[in-house]
Amino acid sequence: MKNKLASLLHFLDRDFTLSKRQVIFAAMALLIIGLGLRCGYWTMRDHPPRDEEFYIQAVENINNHDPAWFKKYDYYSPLMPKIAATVCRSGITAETALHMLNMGYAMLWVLVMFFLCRDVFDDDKAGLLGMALAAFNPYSVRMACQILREPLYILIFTVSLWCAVRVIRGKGVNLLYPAIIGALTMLGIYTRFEGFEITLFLPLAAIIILLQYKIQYLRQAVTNCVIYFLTVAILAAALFWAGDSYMTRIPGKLYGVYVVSKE
Amino acid sequence: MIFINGFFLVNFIPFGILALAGIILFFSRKFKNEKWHYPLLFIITVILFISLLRISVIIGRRYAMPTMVPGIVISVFAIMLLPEILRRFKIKYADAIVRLAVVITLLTCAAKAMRFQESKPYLYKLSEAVQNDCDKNNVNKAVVLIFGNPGGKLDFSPKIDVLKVKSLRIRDRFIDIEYQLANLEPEYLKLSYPLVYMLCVGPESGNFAVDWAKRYHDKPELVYEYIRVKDQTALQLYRLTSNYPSARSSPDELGKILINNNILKNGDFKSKHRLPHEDSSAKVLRSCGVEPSADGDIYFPEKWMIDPGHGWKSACKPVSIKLPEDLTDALIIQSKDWVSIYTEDAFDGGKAYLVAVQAGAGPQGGKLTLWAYIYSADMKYVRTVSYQDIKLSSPSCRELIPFRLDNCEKFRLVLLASGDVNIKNIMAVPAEKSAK
Repeated sequence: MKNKLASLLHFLDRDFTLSKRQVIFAAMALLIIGLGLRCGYWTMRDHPPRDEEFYIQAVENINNHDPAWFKKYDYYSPLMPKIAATVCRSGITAETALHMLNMGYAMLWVLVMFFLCRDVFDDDKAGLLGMALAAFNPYSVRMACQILREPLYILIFTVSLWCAVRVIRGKGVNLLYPAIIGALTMLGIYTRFEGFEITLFLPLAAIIILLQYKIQYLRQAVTNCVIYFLTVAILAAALFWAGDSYMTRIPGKLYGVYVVSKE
Repeated sequence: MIFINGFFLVNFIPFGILALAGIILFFSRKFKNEKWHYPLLFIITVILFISLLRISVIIGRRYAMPTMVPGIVISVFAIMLLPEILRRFKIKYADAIVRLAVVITLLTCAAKAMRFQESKPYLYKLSEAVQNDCDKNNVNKAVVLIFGNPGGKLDFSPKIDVLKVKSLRIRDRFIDIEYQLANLEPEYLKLSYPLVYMLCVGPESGNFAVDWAKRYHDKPELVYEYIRVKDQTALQLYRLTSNYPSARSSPDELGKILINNNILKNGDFKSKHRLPHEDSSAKVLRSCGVEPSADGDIYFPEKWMIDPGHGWKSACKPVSIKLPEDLTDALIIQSKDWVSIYTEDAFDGGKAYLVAVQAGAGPQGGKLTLWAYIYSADMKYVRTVSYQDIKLSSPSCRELIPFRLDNCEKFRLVLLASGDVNIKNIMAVPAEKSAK
């Protein structure tokens, strides 16, 4: 018995390397397990949570072009219900569309966690470990089965973080990543108003680049920041110009949370 | 505190602890790894910044959610360092032990995920109990007042209205009820609903029915009770039965009660009178952009007045008022700001009324609210009481509002309109006319 345990531990202890095929297989297996867990949780539901009604109504009102609803909830982050409303036009109900999309966001997030951890540690095994933690995370399992804005927001947040890590790793020397992070910042704000926190990522990444490579990468860091802020400014200005009521409310919301509440 | 609680909730406690340990280990020189250092420095800075930013917006544990992403990355870092740490303590099979521990923790994660799903059979049973009781009493409309949080959505039929009293605390239950229902006395819900249900969520030992009877002199009957095993919380469904014919009447019968007992004069705004050119109201209306008729005079519904000092002075131009021309027409008010009209006659306070408003909104949308001006016995203005918003749909719908003003001698009803509003009719009936 003792020998068997020792041999098992030796087997687990050996320093293994994974081929590309094995990584893909392991990632697929984790995705299937993650999906299974979420579906399992979904089938065990015996009552609808409280927030669902509001989101279903939101999607239905968007598709019905109800002006009263738009006026009443113009402060409400519109991205998640608007995507679902677009999907609904294919003929499925608002509830089904919201559930399918949320499950989709949650599974995509598990996949993006692989890329994020792989790029942070420059190691496929770390990517798989991060993916496993994401797939089994109890809170993410719970969120995936409910109609909430969180799965979409967490996906946008993670993709932004991954892009910023690629910029730091020098894999994003081209100018595409800052522009992507700029666009994701706006999408994040439109998913939850707290999404403005994504604006931190690229400036922080630029500072890290300067720390990492000393001054020789100053030009790259500054260019990235300029591209990033230009993207954010152009998108914000376009939305302001188009009279988007949610965008016009953001400064007031930030003032309310970070200035008035402190007083 | 909510943030720390939320951090451990979203990361799952073992991995939350690992993430915190990872942040500490990162700053230890012994474990510095050039390959990971800068991307990890970025991730740790992000988690620290987000923690600072989020503390201001956190009102619930789930707002700590974005820390889950950097939290997982830092947990991975801590897990990758663990074998090295164990080896420093000369522990054999360090890698194997860590891998086994991770697998076991992941399995507990899965178990934890499934345990989130707590069965809540009472949510269905409560809805069923209300429906069965309605069927037994042969009524097709009812209202449910929910005191407290039942922990999920109650699936009532569309004929059952639900009013939530969110801030109920058992210790000061009636202070909260009094506050929430100040304008909607439970007794006067019975004017509109034949059955009023009250769902009380509280400790098993709570004595809702007795407390309620002391406060409102009407003992509710217990219809259904469920004791939640995990925390011994009682979900009790009580019922009050109405004896007002208005509550059980069909729309036509109710219409007759309202028409026969209406005390409001010119509630359909059909009779109008000319306002003298020098009249202060006419001047205010003209200054707001209300267009005079062909003869140059302004006409206004009889028995209705405007208060030049309230709303009208600050109203932005243009305000438009169109009086009803025939039986199907309504009084149309179009205004960017709130403007008000009120009854010339004053009514007795300390009594209950049932007010019926038939109104609608134009394509641009509008809002209509019912207020009351309170007067002393010698008709000196005392204060204004706001009542409730009136549901508007296109072209018009009728809403019944139970209405009571205690502690006042006289009052006048006020209608406040904003946007594009059409008011077809307003009637007020003393509650005793609707009682048996």
